[in-house]
Amino acid sequence: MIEKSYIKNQTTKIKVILFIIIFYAVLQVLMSTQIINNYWQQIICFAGVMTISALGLNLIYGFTGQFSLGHAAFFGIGAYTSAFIIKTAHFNNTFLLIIGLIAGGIFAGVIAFLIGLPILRLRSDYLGIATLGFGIIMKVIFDNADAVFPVLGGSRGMVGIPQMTNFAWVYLLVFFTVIILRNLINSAPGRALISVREDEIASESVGVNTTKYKTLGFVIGSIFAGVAGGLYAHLYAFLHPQNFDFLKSIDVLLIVVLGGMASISGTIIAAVVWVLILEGLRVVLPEAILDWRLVIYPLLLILIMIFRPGGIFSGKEFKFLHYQEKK
Amino acid sequence: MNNDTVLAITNLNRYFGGLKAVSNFNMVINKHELVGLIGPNGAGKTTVFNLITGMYSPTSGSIKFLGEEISNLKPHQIAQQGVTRTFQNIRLFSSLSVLDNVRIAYHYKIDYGIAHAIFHSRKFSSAEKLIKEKSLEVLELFGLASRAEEIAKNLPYGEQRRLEIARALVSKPQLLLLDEPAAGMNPSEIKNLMELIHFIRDRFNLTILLIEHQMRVVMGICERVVVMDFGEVISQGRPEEIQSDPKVIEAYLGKTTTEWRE
Amino acid sequence: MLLTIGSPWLIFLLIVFYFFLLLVVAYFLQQVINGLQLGSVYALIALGYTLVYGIIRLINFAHGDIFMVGAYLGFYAILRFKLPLPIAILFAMVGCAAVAIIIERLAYKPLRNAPRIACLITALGVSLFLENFCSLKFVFGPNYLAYPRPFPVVNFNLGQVTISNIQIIVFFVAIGLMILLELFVSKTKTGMAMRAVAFDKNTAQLMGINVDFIVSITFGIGSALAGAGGVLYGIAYPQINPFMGIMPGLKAFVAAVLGGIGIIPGAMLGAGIMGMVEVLTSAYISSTLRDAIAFLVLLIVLLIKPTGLLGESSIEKV
Repeated sequence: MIEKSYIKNQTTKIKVILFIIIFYAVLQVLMSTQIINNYWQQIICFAGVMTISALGLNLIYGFTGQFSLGHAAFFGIGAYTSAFIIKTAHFNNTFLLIIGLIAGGIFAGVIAFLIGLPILRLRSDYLGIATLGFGIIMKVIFDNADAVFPVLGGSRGMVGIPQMTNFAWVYLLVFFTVIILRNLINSAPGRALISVREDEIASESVGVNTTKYKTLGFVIGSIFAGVAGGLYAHLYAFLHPQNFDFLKSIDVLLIVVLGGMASISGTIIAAVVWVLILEGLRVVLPEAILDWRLVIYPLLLILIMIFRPGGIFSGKEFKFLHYQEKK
Repeated sequence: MNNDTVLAITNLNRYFGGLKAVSNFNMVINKHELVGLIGPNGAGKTTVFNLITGMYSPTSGSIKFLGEEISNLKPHQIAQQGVTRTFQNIRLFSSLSVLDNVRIAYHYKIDYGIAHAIFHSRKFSSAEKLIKEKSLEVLELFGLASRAEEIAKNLPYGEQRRLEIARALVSKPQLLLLDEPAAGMNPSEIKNLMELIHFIRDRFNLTILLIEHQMRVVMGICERVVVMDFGEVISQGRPEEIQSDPKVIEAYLGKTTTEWRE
Repeated sequence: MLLTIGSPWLIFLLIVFYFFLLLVVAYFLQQVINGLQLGSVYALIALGYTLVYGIIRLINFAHGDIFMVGAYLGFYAILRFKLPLPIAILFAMVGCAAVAIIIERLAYKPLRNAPRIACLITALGVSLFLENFCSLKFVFGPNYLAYPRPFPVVNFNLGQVTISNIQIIVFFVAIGLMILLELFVSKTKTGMAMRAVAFDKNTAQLMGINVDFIVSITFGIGSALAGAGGVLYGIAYPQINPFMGIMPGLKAFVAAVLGGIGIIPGAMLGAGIMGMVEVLTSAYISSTLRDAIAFLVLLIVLLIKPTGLLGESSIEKV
């Protein structure tokens, strides 16, 4: 006898997959017919990029509990790596973007591993400061990178990057990121990660190698950031070190906290809303008070924190993001 | 020392600057023993626990578990070798479910890695099924199976303590350290606890070392008692023996009478 | 033998060495003086961070922007109201204290019992708000402004080394304020209350200390110091703009951590080091790398002594 809950699980699964496909199809059509114009297409793609990056930080901070203020540095490493490879190799086929993205992700992961080795044993606030310091050092490296690789542009910025990111790529990668993160979290290694956040001492006492799992969370989260960075590089086709400074790290942190830490759904929604609101304010506000955009935005932030300090989703998830067992 | 020795501590010292938290500590525990470690507050009992479990490394001395030196190992390695513990102030994974608290203790016995997890391989599904089954079994033994989906911090105090013990037993350790398991319990809860400790010792084939202030528990279940004061062992023997040892009486009554609770 | 053959060369070498030493050492001493000036300003900001962190464990990201507000208040005091420097500094200190206390009451107090990250994010929000609000045309405007100097710059030459009256003023005003702070914290009742709340908030409350009041006072004092720092920065490096607080704020914060966050002498020590490292790096290595080197120093210190140079290592009780 097939259990009722099994049927419900399957039905939900099918519903969700259908929704994902239809949502993509609708948006893609709107884009192809220019009902959503190029400017807004870029904004939507950027929302997807920020989603992937924020999901990475959520893994590091929301799930594993490691307070990192240097996330934008890994985003930048991924961006510059992908741009460098693809521009130097003169790739122009959009499918070859995958090479840049993989390279960007892996390189970001390697650097995260190396930096993590000494840094991850610091406690909370100090880890935040150390990652902040790392981020600043990285920015200085980006500023001076052209001394070693002139094509990277240094503080003048890097131009001429092939524009290969499109909505299809972004949507696909957001989807993969969400699935990977969901599957990781709802597994034994994932629970080990979460136990590190909950109580390191108790975690060690039941045999969890907390150092290994802190590093794992940090590296995987940074890989996500690197891939997001790669997408970003080929979206705007221009990179400037200022896009990877600690203010940008703070932007990602804001998204993670606003959406609710350790909530995948919260992060997705917060990222999209954050991008759209910042852009939306640019459109909605009359010319004269456009500057008020950046005054209103932090005020909103403060209000949300005061009235909903746990973030919008406060750790809850949409049902389908919980692991459904096969019966 | 013989083949039956589970834990052998020799000349253990731990100094914090000028403070001798543990000094010249010697103790041997054999298989299936139920040993109590008592002493006034500040005697160094929890420090001994922390040394055994690897949270502190000794200033000097040796700790041998099943014949192997463990004093140079990391806490998670020692746990994997088969020494687990509970804590004086309960350390559960409070915002996780009861089931997850127990499941996490399984993780290092799993043979699948993150790749399997991400791609939901067959290895992953069967391992997860197994983990859940075994975890529920353990919870059942402790009367917590019905609470499996509840968040740990919402459990009543007594059940939180049981959960912490259950979690420590999941990996089938050989030595279990209990740090003041009866703290905050009323007499009937204490009675249940003592039965529980006997039960798990037999069911899980355990050797147990426990720190306690409640003399009812120490006298009731410990077969042997080690008494500490100022970081040193001042007496050991059967509960009745140490109860009348003048050194022990002085250590307790010389401080505050409330330490000696009956 | 050596003396007779080598002596003219020896003497020549000694003379070259003497001048080399003079120039090198003189150059070094000059940088030390510059470093002390910068370190003094950083110290005033760093103290605010350390005081607030000590009391409510908050990294007040908006502190650097209070520093900025102080600079602007001094700007208007000197330029518009033609106030003498000491009064301008006082004006900035009082103004900053007021602003900080208002912010604390409106934005931080409601989150006293919320998860720490919420307070942190709020602090970031306040920071962004201050920066962008002050950029608005009807407030301070987004452009760089030249800081008025209330008196002409006078340079004193000691051999190869030059000290300006500005540098002397900055250094001694900073030292003076730090001494006042130290006296206040150690000798007054309020200072003792501050230390009590920093040590154990709940027990302090049980002892009858009005924690809310003490927290506000702490914010006020820390921000007053930053305000003074802003004016001093303005007369020393005479260009200000609404975003000027970001980098110095960050560096001062790092300085506080370097010395041991929550520890007053630690903030002073850390700030001195940060100022020195920054200036020396600029002078001897490269000015583009100076930020990187400063933060590298931080990373190295944290890895060796995770709680900062003067910090106590806290072992978590099990």
